[in-house]
Amino acid sequence: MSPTQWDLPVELCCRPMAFVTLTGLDVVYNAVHRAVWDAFCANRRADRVPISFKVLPGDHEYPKCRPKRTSYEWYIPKGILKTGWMNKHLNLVPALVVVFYELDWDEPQWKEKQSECATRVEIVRQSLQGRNTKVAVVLIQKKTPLPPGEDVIASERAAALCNACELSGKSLFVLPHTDHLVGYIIRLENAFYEHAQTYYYTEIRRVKSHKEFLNKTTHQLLFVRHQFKIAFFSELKQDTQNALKNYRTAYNLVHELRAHETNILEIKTMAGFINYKICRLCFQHNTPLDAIAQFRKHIDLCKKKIGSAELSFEHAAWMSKQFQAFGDLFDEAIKLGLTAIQTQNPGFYYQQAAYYAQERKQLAKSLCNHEASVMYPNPDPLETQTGVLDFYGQRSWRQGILSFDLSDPEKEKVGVLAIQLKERNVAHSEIIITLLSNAVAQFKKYKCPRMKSHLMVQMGEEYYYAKDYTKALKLLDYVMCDYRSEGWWTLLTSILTTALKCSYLMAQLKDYITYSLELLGRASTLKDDQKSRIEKNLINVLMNESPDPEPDCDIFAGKTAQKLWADRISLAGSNIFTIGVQDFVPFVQCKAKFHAPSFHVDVPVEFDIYLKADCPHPIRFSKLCVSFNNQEYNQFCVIEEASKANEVLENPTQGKMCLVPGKTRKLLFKFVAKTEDVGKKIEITSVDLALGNETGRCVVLNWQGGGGDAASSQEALQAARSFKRRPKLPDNEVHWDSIIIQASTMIISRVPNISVHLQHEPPALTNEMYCLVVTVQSHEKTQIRDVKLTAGLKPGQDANLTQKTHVTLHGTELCDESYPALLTDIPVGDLHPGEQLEKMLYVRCGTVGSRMFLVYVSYLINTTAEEKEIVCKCHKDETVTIETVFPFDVAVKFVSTKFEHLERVYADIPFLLMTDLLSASPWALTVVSSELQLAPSMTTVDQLESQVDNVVLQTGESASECFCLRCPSLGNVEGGVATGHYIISWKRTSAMENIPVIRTVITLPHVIVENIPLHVNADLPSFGRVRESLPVKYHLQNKTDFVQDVEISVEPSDAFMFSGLKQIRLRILPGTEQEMLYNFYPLMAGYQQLPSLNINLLRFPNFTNQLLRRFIPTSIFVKPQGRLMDDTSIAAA
Amino acid sequence: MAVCIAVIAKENYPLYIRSTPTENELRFHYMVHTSLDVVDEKISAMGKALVDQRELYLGLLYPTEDYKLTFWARH
Repeated sequence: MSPTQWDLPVELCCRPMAFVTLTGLDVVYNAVHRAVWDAFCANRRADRVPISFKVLPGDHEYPKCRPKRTSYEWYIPKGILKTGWMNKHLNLVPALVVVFYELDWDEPQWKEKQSECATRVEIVRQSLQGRNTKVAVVLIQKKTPLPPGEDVIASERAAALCNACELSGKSLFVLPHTDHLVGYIIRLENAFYEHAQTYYYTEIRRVKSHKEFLNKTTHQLLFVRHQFKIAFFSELKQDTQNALKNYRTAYNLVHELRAHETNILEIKTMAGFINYKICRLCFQHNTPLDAIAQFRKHIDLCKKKIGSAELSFEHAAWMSKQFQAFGDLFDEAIKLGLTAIQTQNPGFYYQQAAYYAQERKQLAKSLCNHEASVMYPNPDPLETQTGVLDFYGQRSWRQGILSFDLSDPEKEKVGVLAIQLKERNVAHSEIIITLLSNAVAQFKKYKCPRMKSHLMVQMGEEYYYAKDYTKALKLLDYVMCDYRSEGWWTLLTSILTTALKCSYLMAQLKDYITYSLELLGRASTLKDDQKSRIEKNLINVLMNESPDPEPDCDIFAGKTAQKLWADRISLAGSNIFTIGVQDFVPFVQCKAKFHAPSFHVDVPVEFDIYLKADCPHPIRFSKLCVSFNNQEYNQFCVIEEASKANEVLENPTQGKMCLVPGKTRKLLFKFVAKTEDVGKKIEITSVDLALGNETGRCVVLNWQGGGGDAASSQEALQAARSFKRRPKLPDNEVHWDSIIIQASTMIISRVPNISVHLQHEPPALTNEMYCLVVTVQSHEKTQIRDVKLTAGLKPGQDANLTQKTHVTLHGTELCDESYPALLTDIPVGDLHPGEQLEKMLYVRCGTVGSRMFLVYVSYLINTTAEEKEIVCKCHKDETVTIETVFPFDVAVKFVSTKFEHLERVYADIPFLLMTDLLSASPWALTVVSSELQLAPSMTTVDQLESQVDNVVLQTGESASECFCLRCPSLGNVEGGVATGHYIISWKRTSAMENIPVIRTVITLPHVIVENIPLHVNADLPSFGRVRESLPVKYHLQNKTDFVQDVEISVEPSDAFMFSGLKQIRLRILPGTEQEMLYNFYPLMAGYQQLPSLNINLLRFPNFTNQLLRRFIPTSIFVKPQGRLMDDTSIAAA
Repeated sequence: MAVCIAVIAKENYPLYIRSTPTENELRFHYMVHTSLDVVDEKISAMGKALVDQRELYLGLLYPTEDYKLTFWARH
């Protein structure tokens, strides 16, 4: 965009830098000069001093200095600030002029050169006459200079040159053209910078010195001007603190000026400039709050300074620019690192700028509505001789006139007219949209989504005014959903109204229909008459006619629209518009509700579609169809009412499809579900409601799922929170809010009419073939077919159970691991009504614990639903939990032949293995047989015959067996020696003949075997009799490989007399046996201690008599002497 | 003088808005709606502290050119 009257001048907005001109450099043809110039101006980074350099010829004419005023007494200023002043000091009047001259100290023609240089300096001085501009000379030398003081010639000639040029020594520099050019240049420019600062300092002093001549009555303008100049020179001097101070003073002074309609623009313009400078410096000093405070003050002071009412749009334009410029400054400061916040960011300033731009447009519209015949004045009063104004903010036709009276009212009128006619050509909307879009970008950044939406609405509306309806619609459509989702209906209605106008003006059918549908709906806050109008238009559109124009539309655009609509009518093509309603709030509401969450397959599925219209007049729809996830049902759920296009609004109360506003319409649908859908969900995927018909235009409203639109969830929430009591309605009507959408239902199988009984005797015993009798009886009225049984372990239990549970239908054979845990779909044939069947099921459980068993019976039956023949699959299941227990406990112990408990057995010495089988089953068990399978390390002493064949054990009873075994010497075996297995074959006593016997194998414990050196056993009768001889034979076996010395003694006992060796010492050869024979003679009856045998082994002192007593008896029962006579006498008595 | 009073539900939809009839009603609706940006931010920043405190005056939200907006939150 080209700069307009209101844009701030470039010289105001730039950063002022000291202006230094370089002369005597031929940058085009001289490579050395070119290099010097490049070193000055290329790569000027922030660390270099702020100087703006310019190369000028030595004889350049600088702006002439006006003669110094000696008195201000008669001087009357014509304005505040000349338009050229800032540019003059930035770009035209240098602080320092540098004369470059090639001259080495040892120059042979020194004199001539010196005088040429002096001439050049003189020419520059001439041109700068009257100015304080400094002059400096730089000698470009080929040779590197010697350190100061060493080169005597150099010192002399330097002094001479200074003298010739009338320069101080500080203004003469040497630039050796050697390697370190940039280094020399930086040192040079630092020196230049010091000179420039001195220059600006003297300028400030000079301006200040005028002050004393001024008086407050005639020189008010000069107070401002001088203060501004001091501030500006301070900026050039890079003294921003003083610059700010002086700008602030200038700002206060500008507001002290007497304001009048004729000079108010000048005052505001200058106030705006100074304010800009202050805010800029505050941001630069990192005091943003000061900037904001200054800006607020500025706006408060100037807001009401409107000036001429005829040109009040100028004030709005100026205000807009103030906000925009501040927004730009703020944004720039942020880019340099300032942090802004949600409530204080540039967006607010751009927004306000846009607001004033809008006001400008409004004012311009009302003030500049001249008739077309009004011509732009000639000559142009806005033209000046120079093409620019002399002073900022003045009127071109009365420049420099300070009087508050309008000397030439006619001239004034022409000038105003010219401005008004120019304003008419301004692209206001473009300005507004740019500002709004700046604001949008800021609010997006500072998390203000609603502010952003609001500004986008304004942008959309501005595009509408600018007649760019496509862009307008795009923006409005984009933000609509934000207002809809938050339920701000008033705002939504306002946006929709504009959108409807846009779509009307572009004759966009689908958009027009969509916005109409929503504006008629419950979210719209339009009055009824408006709604009536829209409804009528909608019907017209559906009947393929043009709608009436929207109110307040641009007349020209309205005419274009009418043509477009007429073209639409003649155009054939797609006249069906399907509009998804889930994202907006249409004027019809829809809710679908299944009567139940599930339906049996043999009863019809029923559901209601509830419809309610919110438009002002009754309306007739042409078709309603419901779609399901299984599309085969769609055909059963269609209502179509043939009607002519023009009947949409007629005969309103007749027919199912005519909706009366505010009344809920209920439509019942039913259909029979497919048997394949048993176990599946039937879902309503969409409801389509058609308005209009194919001959005209047709709109299909499409609800996803079981109805509901963009406002439904919020309404439900509101209804739930409301304390309002609903009014009572007649019985056949329902409150809309109380209808809850139920868009899906389950199809479940027909209720079975059979009984399933299980008969069994729990608990199950480990590994037995446990019998479960399943009885199925049909109570159906007709024959049932294809009865199938699934039985066994219920799936979903511990996986280990599956491995240890086996099911079979054949109880006669023992099932093994290959049998399944669950038998599926065993066909069992058909059943007539009342008939029953029985099936035996055998379960083998390998582990104890409880298990759940499932018996599932399925069958087919022919039945009717809604007079339709269907085949239903029914099923019934039973579950039962069965505990499995061990049938018996087996206890095993090792005892000596004397039935004494043994911790360990002795090699080669017989011992007894005793088994004890205790029934734990609540049912009688038959032990069919038992078997002892000895390990190779064990041998039997006698026959291993079962002693418990066919024994029946009741609960708690036990059966014991005893086996005499011997363990040959094996040497020392760690952990003992395996004994073998005990196998019990058993079954339930109640089990049938053909049920197999179960073999339960018990692993017998290991036993520790110990070797002994000598084994003694005794042969003696089982009892003795008093005074009858009792022969006893002791066998002493040497179990070692050594010859053993044995000491034997027999100790006498009171109960016996005895004969035989009382004490003897003998030797027993390895592996041989020695017999000792004694004749005992009992003296007393009863249990008597035998004379004890003591053996002492010389080689094995550990062999004790205690050990000996384990093998030989220590006492014997002695019967009294028999008396045969007495026995008979007792019998006789 | 108060020119507009609004009561807003916690889901941010308006429960009640009344403004002086002479003013542009729509403008106030937009103003209240846009101020919810700041309310949202304040409430989320205060977080749990807000729930514990009894003092729910959110204070001056932000000054517009011509109006001032203040806000109270409640449970």
